[in-house]
Amino acid sequence: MGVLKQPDAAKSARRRLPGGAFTVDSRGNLVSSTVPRWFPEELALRIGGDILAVFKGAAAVRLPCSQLRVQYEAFSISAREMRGGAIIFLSPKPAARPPALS
Amino acid sequence: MAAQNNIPLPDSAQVPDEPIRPANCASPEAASQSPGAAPTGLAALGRFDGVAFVLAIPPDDNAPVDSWKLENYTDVAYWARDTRRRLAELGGSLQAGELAGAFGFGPREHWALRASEEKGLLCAGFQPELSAEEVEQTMKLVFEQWAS
Repeated sequence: MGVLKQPDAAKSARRRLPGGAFTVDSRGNLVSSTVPRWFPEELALRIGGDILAVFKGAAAVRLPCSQLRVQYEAFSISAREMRGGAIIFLSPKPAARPPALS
Repeated sequence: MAAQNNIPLPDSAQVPDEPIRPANCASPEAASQSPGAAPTGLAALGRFDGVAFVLAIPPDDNAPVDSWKLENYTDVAYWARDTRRRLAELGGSLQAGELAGAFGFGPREHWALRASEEKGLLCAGFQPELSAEEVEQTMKLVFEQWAS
């Protein structure tokens, strides 16, 4: 009988992260979303608020930007500024595939 | 005499030759070299195509920052530290793993942030002609040279 390999502790501790997109207005309110319903709304709001803060902060130090890309080990966030609000894309990174057998 | 204290000084006497800098900041051109000399330090990072400015921010908040071709380096250093902290905390809340980098793409300039536990935070600016992929690739090279 085969033995199941224990998953890597760090990876198993990570939250399941969704793909999808959502928009926030200039006050950080959620306007529309294609993110799965199981993803907590408060986390989407947190992402939206932080992204808007980065846009505003960058403009304040004369580095205005209309697009942002934030990369994490297992996830990336892209955002496009829209009249003070933003459209935000969430992209989980695919797990590394084992090398193909030759 | 009190009357003498009210005499306005000519503009030239009030404006110092060198910009006034906070004590904890190195010269913005600290990494610049004399003409003809091979660039070293942050100036060497400016040799990568498309790099517009470089700002090195040590892990210690009280240590001086080092900048190359950036005028408002104290403001940018404060913002960069705050942005890095904010995005790292967001990653923690999402359990998304370590923050690998942040990039901004604007009409006048692009910018990138990337951190090293030992050396601190590197913020670099890029010319707007560069594509997003070129910015990410160049930042990777710049960061690797800086952190090595």
